[in-house]
Amino acid sequence: MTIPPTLSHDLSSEPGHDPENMHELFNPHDVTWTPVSRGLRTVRWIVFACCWLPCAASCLLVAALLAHRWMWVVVAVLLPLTLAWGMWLIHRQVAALAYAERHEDFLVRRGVMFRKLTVVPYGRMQYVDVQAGPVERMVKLATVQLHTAAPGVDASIPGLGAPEAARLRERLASLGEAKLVGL
Amino acid sequence: MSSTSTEEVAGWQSSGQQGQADAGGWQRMHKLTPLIKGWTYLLGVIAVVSHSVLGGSLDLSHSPAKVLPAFAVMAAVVLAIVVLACLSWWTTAYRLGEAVIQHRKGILFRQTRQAPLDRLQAVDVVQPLLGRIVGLSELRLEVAGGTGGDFRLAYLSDANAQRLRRVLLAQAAGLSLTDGQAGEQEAPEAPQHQVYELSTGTMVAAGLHSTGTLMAALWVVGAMVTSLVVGSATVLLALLPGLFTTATVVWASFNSHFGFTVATSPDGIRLRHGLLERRSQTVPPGRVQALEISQPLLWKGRGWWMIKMNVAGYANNVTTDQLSAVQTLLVPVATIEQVALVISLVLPDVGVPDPREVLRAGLLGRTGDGSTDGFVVAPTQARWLAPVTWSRRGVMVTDRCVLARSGRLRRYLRIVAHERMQAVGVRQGPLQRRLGLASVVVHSTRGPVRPRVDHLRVADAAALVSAQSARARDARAVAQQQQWMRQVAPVLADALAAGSTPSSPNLPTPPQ
Repeated sequence: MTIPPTLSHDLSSEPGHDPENMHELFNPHDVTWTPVSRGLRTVRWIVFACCWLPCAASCLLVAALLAHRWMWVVVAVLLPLTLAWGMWLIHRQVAALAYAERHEDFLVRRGVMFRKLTVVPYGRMQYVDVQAGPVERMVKLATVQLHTAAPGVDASIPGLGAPEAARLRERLASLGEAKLVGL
Repeated sequence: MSSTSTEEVAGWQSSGQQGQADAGGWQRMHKLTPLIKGWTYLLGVIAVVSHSVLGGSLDLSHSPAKVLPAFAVMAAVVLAIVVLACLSWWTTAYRLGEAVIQHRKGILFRQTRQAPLDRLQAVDVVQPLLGRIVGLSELRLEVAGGTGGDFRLAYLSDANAQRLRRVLLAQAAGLSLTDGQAGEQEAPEAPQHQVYELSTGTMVAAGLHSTGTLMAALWVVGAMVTSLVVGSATVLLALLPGLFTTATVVWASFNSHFGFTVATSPDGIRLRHGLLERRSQTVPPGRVQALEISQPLLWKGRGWWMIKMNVAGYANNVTTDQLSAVQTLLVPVATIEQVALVISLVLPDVGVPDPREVLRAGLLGRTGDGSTDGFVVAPTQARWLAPVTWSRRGVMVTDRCVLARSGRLRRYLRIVAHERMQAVGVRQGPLQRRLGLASVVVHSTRGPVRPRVDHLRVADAAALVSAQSARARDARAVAQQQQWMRQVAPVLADALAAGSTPSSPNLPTPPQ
């Protein structure tokens, strides 16, 4: 075999395609991403704070019981640091969350350190769920989740405004029905 | 449930045997069902009684006034078991409709399940040991999109189970049915052609070449040496639990693999296996979602391989791991030639002129072994993340399927047809980003096969993901045919009747 093996589907001939570009991997050239609502940051901050506060309180308690000067220094440095780090992480993660509707498939992108892009063909969607937890409801957000026959397809889109979630559910459900094929 | 017997009578064919079916077309299980289902409970009661008598807690020489209450309680328990079993038999029934089968059960809480037959994924006929003695089988359907997961009819007479299997597969294939003698539906038995048989010798040898047996042997030798050194035989007692576990595992695989045969027929791939409990599986064409050919470390010298498959429904939440491991095994032990043959039947068109060569490259090939085998491989820098296996990691995409190879100590080759792909994803961790690598995951249905390609070049991964969604779309548009017999039945039936050699990879088979 003299021709080197290739994986592309004659993409190389298309304009604007640069296979060596690292950026291309999570940004296919024919995709316009819709970021999720920034309100999701608030939701996650609140949830994070609810976990962080008890931890902080118990750390303070331990420090008070031990009553050691170094303990106080450690606590005074670590606690604000973890708070800031967690909030910064959430900020970045929410900023990285995005979805896109293509002609034939739906794309979800997430993660900053560990990046992940999932492509779900409309014809493979079994059903679509919309859920909203108590904190999400406070800021009028919802999570849309696509279900396929495959386990481990992480295709949930958190942080959608209620109208957008309803629109997406309707659109995905109708597209899924129109293009649904058997397994 | 009371409404079903009065309404929609017309829609349900009375497929009853000698007038067993009632007005709604409902048909009960075989009359011996309560016996087969309840015998373990009765055994339990007998065990309790004999234990009490022998253990002296129930002394039969006592006065009747003391013994009678104990016997009354036991009689009540036995009666309750018998009554419940009979009630359960009375309420359990099935009926066949136009391209649908219904099953109802439950004494207090009635439950009716419905399975659309065009979504039929597989039909299993299971004969437990006791069922084999009295001639009863259980029929299990795996259906995608049915209400509820578990669809099993237990127990039917052997002949009825076989007839029902034929009828269900024929209906699922879109064939029209003929009426048999007693007014029941009948479908012709599809001709089958056996392509693989596991000999007992090979099975035993393969079992002995497993890592588990090796560990057990080492464990025994170690314990013996220790007991000699210490000079006490009590160390040998420590062997017992380990040996017992090994024996259980070996027996389980022996029991389920015994007499394994693979046959091809127009209604799909047929597997038959089992020593005490006999299981016949029929997986219609195009229902195999993904394949994994693998080779455990100790099989390398013998050149043996096993094939596992994903079939939707075989790995439900309700089925146990052990059962789904039995169901999803396509071939337990095979040479590379047999593997090529079975693959050519399950996946008739790999999309390359020489499938055997590709298979060989996928099973045995390595980066740097001098061959240019068509696989796009992980680059050299992947050795930082996968020092042992990087040279085996690679992917090949043909017009019809994706082949992903990996593993060096235990070799793997995983194959998914484009139209069977559920979704595709790409992921990249910080180390991979630094090295310019990314992993691609091809999602298949639930099952033992989870195809993924780790540590590809970023450009290759991007090309694979974007091309894969396009390829899957094209393949689905062309291939989709739920009722597989509508177009190809005559061709294949003729080919099989004429006795065409199964070794020919160009055997005409329905579209996948």
